[in-house]
Amino acid sequence: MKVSRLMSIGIALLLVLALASGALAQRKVTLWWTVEYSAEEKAALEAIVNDFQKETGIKVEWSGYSSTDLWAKVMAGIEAGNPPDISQVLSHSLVLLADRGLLADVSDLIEKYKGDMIPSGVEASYLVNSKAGKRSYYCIPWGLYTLTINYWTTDIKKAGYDKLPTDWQGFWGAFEKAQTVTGIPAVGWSLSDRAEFDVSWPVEQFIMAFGGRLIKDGKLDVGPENRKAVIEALKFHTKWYLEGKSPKGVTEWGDPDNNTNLQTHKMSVTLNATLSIPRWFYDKERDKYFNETASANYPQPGPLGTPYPVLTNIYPMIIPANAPNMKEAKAFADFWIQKRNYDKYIRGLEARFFPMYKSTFDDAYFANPKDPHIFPTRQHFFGPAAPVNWMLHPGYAKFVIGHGWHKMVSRVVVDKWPPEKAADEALEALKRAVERY
Amino acid sequence: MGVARTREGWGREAWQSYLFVLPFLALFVSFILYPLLSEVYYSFTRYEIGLAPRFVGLKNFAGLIQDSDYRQSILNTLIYVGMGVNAKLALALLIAIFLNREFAGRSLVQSLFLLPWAAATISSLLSFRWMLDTDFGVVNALLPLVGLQRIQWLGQYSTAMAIILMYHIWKYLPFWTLIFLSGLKGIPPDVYEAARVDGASPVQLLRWITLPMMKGLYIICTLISAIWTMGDFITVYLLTGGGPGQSTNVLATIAYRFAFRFGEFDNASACFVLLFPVMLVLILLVIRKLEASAYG
Amino acid sequence: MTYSASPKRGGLRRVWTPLWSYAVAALILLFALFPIYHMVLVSVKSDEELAKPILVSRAPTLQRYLEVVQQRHMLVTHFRRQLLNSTVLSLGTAALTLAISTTCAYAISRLRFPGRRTIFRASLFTYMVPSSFIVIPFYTLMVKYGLVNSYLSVILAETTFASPYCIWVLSEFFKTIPVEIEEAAIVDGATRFRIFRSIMLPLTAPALVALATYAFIFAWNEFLYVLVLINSNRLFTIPVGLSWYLNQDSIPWGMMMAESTLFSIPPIIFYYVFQRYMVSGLAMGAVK
Repeated sequence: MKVSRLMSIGIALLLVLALASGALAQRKVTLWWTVEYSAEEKAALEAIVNDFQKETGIKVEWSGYSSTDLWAKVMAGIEAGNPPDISQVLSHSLVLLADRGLLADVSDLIEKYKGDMIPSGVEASYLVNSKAGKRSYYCIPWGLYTLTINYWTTDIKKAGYDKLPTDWQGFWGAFEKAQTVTGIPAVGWSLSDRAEFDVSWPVEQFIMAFGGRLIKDGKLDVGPENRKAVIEALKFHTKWYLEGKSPKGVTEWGDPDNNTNLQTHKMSVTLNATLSIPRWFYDKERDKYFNETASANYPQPGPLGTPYPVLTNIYPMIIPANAPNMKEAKAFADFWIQKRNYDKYIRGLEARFFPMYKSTFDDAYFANPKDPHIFPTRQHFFGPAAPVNWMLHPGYAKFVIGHGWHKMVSRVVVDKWPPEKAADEALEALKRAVERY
Repeated sequence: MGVARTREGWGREAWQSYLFVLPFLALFVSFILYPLLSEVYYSFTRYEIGLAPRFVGLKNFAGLIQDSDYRQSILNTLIYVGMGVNAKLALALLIAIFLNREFAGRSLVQSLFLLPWAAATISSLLSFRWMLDTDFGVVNALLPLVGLQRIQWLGQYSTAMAIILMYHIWKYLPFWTLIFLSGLKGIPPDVYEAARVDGASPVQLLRWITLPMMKGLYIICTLISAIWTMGDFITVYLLTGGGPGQSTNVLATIAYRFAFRFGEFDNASACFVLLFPVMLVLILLVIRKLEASAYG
Repeated sequence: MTYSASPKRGGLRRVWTPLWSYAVAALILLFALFPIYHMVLVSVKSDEELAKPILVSRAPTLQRYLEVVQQRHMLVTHFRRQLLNSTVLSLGTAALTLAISTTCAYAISRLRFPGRRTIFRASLFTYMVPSSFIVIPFYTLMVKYGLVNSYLSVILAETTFASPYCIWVLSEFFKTIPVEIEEAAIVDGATRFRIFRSIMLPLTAPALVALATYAFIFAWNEFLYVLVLINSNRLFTIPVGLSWYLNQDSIPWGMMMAESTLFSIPPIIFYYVFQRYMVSGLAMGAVK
């Protein structure tokens, strides 16, 4: 009988597949992590995995993803009840997940190590859990980072500057001048929905620079001063493209595109969430790393003549509350966060992130004053600093997850709306997101 | 239609019949009926990742109607369905009439014509996407040869929608052409003969015989194709991902975005439920027409 | 306009001037075949030729096919596993769909019982509903049952959507079988199930093969449900695996086209082998 034979084959194959993917008796932990930037990163991860396996005998099954994929998959896994044991999420999702009680409480781990860690990072991991009605540590701060400013020193020199001016007008004016001399567009950052933090973070930083403090004491404030700050920030963010001082393609750039475009010198300066661009130069064109490019500290004072905080963020490692191998996951996290192992891995990343340990943060590698990239970026942490707004309120995080700032930018750049109208629409959406929450 | 009676009689008969239809019925109730009803329910709740559903009345619908991205997706779906279905079926009918003629090599042409439908959807979508790449695609490379500028095909709304429509027509044209061909073959040749004897021209044959006889089939096909096209996901998802911005989303892609990007299952459900009345009317129309032809 | 006597049709028949026909046919074929040709072309173009707009490769290579099959590139490390997944999904769907639709079609077409018309309407309804419309509650339902990331959930979904067409076609087929055969078997003392198994199924064997193929291809092409229900790289089917290429910074198009071509071969073969059945099935089902 054709039908029963087909059925038998089908069922047999199904059984084989089910068995093959079934769980085995051995202790294991599933790790989902990013492997997208360099071979060293992959090697560093493999090293730590091997060390852990050797020391504890627990098997580590790891999968590598690009960061946008990883984030979506982790969320899906948590919801579906089959999450990885350890992974990372983007910081805006972190706040939401913690608030809904979807992440494991890792206070035991943090308490052990926090004495040696940079306080702002530790504080950022102390999150609200509305479901359980408490605050606790719901992630392991993996690394610290800020929005770095990477630029070509050659363009600045051609414009007649020895060093970049340190006040707001002078700083940005130098790049405008550079364009008139070199013909290369001054500024390039993504204005597209395809990028993630590459859009949200610069907007947030500019709002800060123009005096906007949208979250005050944990509450949203969209009063007239903040509205003005948002409008000015929006104008500043988009004016470069509208005035022809950006590469045309910025309206299509995904997260990697500002990297590749600065690397191929399609503009003079960009803002980037990690030190991945200098990393690339160091690996591929080391001469340019030292002699033709640099990273900058933020120009202070800001456009209003007053200092403004530089936004910092953490890179969170999480253990889902419904992780199938909780004990093993905590064991691995514990292993990884120990200074000796942690330092090994973070060196493998070669300063894409700043380390959480004070001693490492101050050591010769990260605090070398001669380094044109790591050192100026490190200075970001020593001036006025603040955590990014979305870490402070889950409703706000929701707005950012929903690409609220992206929409605002695209209104001005694609739909040609006046900035006031776009800002009002965005602030309305922000209010709704916070209220609805 | 004759039915053979077994010795057990009608009572026993019914019981056995139910056993026969039970598998399908189980599938239908569990995986069509129950999800549909759940979706209606979810659309009236607040239901997000990590939260249990909580009734909130019409809030989601109000929110969606105010959402300009959602409104745009409805417009896009209307354009996609309206233009896609009509262009596709009109072309399909014409090509079917053409292929109904006899000419040397016709069966070869008919066979080859089937290829877009036969090739895997993912494969042809990716081919289209690369063909239209702004910097390295074949199409943009050939344009300068005829004196035209390169176009950002998938990067601007107008051309992106045009490409989406074109892919859809390209892919499903063969299927509907085959259906219309079968329909054409169902028209008895004597009708044509009689008309020709009376001196009718080909155009008159077309207008007074072919088209009227195909009308019923054409209408059913329009309805069916419209319903299916309304739910299309993969074309937009792979060609533009909804971009630029969120301007080329259709119903299915924006619902997917709500559910799996924002974790908002309530809004995602409401996206579809808002159109349930339209869907149901169309489906019932089709069922009525198909039943009539099956039992009439 | 030329007139020719056509013995088959027993009368005068108008024949299009061949030039016209061939021009139109050529246009139709160009439109239909170019994207497929393009896919194969890109898969065999050599690396230097990839960025160039040439339409014929001067140094074609099968290198990429080897890369894919031997899993030599980071993006195809799971190719064979994904191919297996696609196959399991499709075979499972075909088997389950046949089992379910044969029984249902037999009952609808050959048996009389209250609710018969409702079942028929239910199957038509299922046929009409676009699968994307219920993917979200389907997902939440599978979360509840813990079936996310397992193929059972996708097979159930695919079977649900593939069954109606099979039920429809099979009903028509069953109706063509003379009642006398069944009546003879009944006289011999056969039960319904016996009749179904030993008489009806063998008589519709060609249709069964064609419909199994239909269900196979239906599941082979499935994208949305796999995207939603399956989370891990190792468990993807080829379509979803291929779509992940698009997230990369620099997409290896040549290799992607090679994998696409490979993936297209089974459905193309099946469609051509069963072309006759496809058409006749559609003709029976849709044209009345």
